[in-house]
Amino acid sequence: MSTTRATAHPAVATYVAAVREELGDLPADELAEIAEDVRDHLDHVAAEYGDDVTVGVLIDRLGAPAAYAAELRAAAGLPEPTPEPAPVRTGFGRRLLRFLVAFFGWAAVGLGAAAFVDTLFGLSGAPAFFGVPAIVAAVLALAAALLLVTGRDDPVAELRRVPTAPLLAQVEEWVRGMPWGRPAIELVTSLRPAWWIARAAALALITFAVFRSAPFSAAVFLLAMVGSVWLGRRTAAGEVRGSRLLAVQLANAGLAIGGLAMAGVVAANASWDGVRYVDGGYDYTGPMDWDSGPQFYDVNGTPVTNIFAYGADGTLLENVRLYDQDGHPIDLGWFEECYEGAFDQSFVAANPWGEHVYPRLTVEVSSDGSCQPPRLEAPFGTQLPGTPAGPPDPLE
Amino acid sequence: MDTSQLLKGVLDLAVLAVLREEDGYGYDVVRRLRAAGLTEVGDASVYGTLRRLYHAGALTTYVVPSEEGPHRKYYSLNGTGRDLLRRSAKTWREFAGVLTELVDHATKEAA
Repeated sequence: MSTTRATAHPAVATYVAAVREELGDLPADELAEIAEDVRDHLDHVAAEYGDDVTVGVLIDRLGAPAAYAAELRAAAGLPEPTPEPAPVRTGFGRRLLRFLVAFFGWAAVGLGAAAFVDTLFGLSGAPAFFGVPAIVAAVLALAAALLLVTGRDDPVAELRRVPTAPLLAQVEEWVRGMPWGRPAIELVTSLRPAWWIARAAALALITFAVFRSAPFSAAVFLLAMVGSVWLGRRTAAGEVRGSRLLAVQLANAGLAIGGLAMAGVVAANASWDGVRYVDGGYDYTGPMDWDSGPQFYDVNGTPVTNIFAYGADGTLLENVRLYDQDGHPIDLGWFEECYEGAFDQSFVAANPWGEHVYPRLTVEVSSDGSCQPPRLEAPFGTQLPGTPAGPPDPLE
Repeated sequence: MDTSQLLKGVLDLAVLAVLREEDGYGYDVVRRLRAAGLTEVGDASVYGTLRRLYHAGALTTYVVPSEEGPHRKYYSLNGTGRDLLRRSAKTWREFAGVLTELVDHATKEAA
């Protein structure tokens, strides 16, 4: 395969996309092959006109894309498309569903990407902020898509009528037209087996987020991986077609978005339960500004460095967020930290939800200079002395 | 008489005959057919025919990269293709002979 080729003219890309659309009933691999031939052909024709080529010129020369597709289909002996059902008037409900599929689908993609970036760079500190709406949008888009195709003879054609769906074909055509397009697509195709494992991992991650059981999730992962590879090999061989292929693709989209979002939520919970780990101490971006927070002193003049709140029943409250009368978070402007060499992980007793969350964990440096594991050191323990014990454990 | 209708039946033969002289890529085959006098041949028909003959095992392909412009997928006749061409040519000559005879005879009667 050649990798050097001139960039396709936009008119060529548009015409090819229209021909693809006409041949959309063919299996994906065959369609891709044909589209490549058509593109080569149009590139030759376009080369005769240079930069002056427009879609109009191509249509004058070769006929409308529909006619071109029909001629190609007849000459190549390809099966005729299943005739379109008699044009039933498209009801408002159906149009609304199509719109909802597009709306929630793109919302899920956008929010999922935001959650991914957010988790990667820790922008909001709470990946669930984008992750949960992304999952909700993905579920709504899937539900709308299922409602849309339920009882339809040709679910694929039905989904193709969703607004912006043809755009995807044009984007693919554009990518193919780029000099890097074909190698990139070949690379992505070669990554298929990695995706088979990734989607099993996504399912296990979602299982873990719901059931919070590592052994169960591991079992789900192993089973899902066997199933996923089996299904993937069949799909790649083109043995899965029609509405089943559609179901696989919808499930893929759901797993990709759900898995990403769940990874964010799980990552957030993991650091929320304990401490934040900081590499080396050089890239620490926490509140190093000692003047920023207010300083409080107790009756003896000792700075207040931590706050322990006990509830009405005398149990220690954890992860309490404190605000002042103006809604500003109360930050004592002080936290314990321990850095252990440039290459070791160090502890900062700051809560990722913010510096106004109490009680803070205590981090101590041992005599040999290494960091002690962070722990909660409440002066009165988890139960305030003299108060009745908490409610009886329902399991007892 | 609409030659495009006639062409449909014999496009396979025409394409095979063009490729017997020299290997060619799709657009090149279109141009050679037009240059030979089949001016009404449709681009998409030629591309479709090449695809069908290839899948029927009559043609082999190889790609020649091009520095500027689109790359070229060349088609060449293989053994099956040459065999198909021989049989098709025989059928065509017999058919054309019969039809020429018929047409000339009928014309004389009418004259």
